[in-house]
Amino acid sequence: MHDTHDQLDDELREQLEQLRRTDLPEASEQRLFERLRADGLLEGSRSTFVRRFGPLAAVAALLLVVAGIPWLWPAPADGRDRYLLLLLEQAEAPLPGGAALVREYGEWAADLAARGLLEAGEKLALEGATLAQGTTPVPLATSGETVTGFFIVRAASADEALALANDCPHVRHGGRVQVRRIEPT
Amino acid sequence: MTSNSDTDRFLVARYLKRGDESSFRLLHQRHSPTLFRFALGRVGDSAADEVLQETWVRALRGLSGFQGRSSLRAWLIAIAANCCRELHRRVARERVDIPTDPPARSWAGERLELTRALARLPERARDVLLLHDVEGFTHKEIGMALEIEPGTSKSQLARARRLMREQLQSGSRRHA
Repeated sequence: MHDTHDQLDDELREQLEQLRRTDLPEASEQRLFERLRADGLLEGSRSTFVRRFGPLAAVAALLLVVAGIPWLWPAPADGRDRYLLLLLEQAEAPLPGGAALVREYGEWAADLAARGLLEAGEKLALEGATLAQGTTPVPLATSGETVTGFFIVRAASADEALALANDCPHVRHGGRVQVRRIEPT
Repeated sequence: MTSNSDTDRFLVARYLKRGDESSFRLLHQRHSPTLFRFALGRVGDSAADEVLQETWVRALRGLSGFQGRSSLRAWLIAIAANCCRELHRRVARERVDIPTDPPARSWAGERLELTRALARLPERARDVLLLHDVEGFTHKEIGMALEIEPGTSKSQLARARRLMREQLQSGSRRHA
């Protein structure tokens, strides 16, 4: 006779489900990345650029993307256009963070990447500055809508780009996403 | 919808081509929680993070040799299991003061009965229970990860569930 004690009943399942809520310890990710960089297992990326050159680098990175320097971004070969998704939220009321939300963004991005639709994506620091010719840099406002990250995706049409953006966790969790087509040069 | 293994293969290929952080960051987000929870079951709170780091260092060094015979997560668990074994041997050999016994306090928050029940399981049974019922591994993946036959994985799972139920029920009676 089949022994039901071997089965996973609802009570045991519910108990074990709690284990899935165990998060990584604080600073675990930072320690890991530092060690991997020290061992030469991670090459520099735009993230490294941002860290090394401070807050202005975040603005510079965004400007580079918007300027669409051709040698950095080869034209897509499949007829798809590139779209910039700017993640917006209120500086004085940012979206809640946490490991679970980071995982959500990561899984959404990984799915797009596997489909060949993701070219880049980064989280931006809240600090930064705006500069213009002849003026000293003006720190970013600490209130109002601010850009907190971006993705560059590939889509066959504006509607498809909007559909991709609509699936982004940023929208689900109360943020806004601005979708802009990158003009090929 | 792309399968999880397709996504892993894509990210691995991109990491091997560019070594860039963004590819690894996604792999880390996808697999580190599972690796950490597995290490908690083997070596407890103090050493689980060390095992996680060492696992990724070895994995990235050996990634070009990963041939896809198993899933990436099964391959990573196999590396983590080796790291745990080596840590236990080092603790025993050098009498290093690293607490390496579960239960892990970071498990399950305040659910001490659950944590104690898991700690009392034989190691192999606990591994299989965590990988199958918590992390969703198939018996084939568990076999590749722990170097056991899928049939052994099934019997260990049945044993683990039975023992867990007995432990939790006797715990409830004690506090009734």
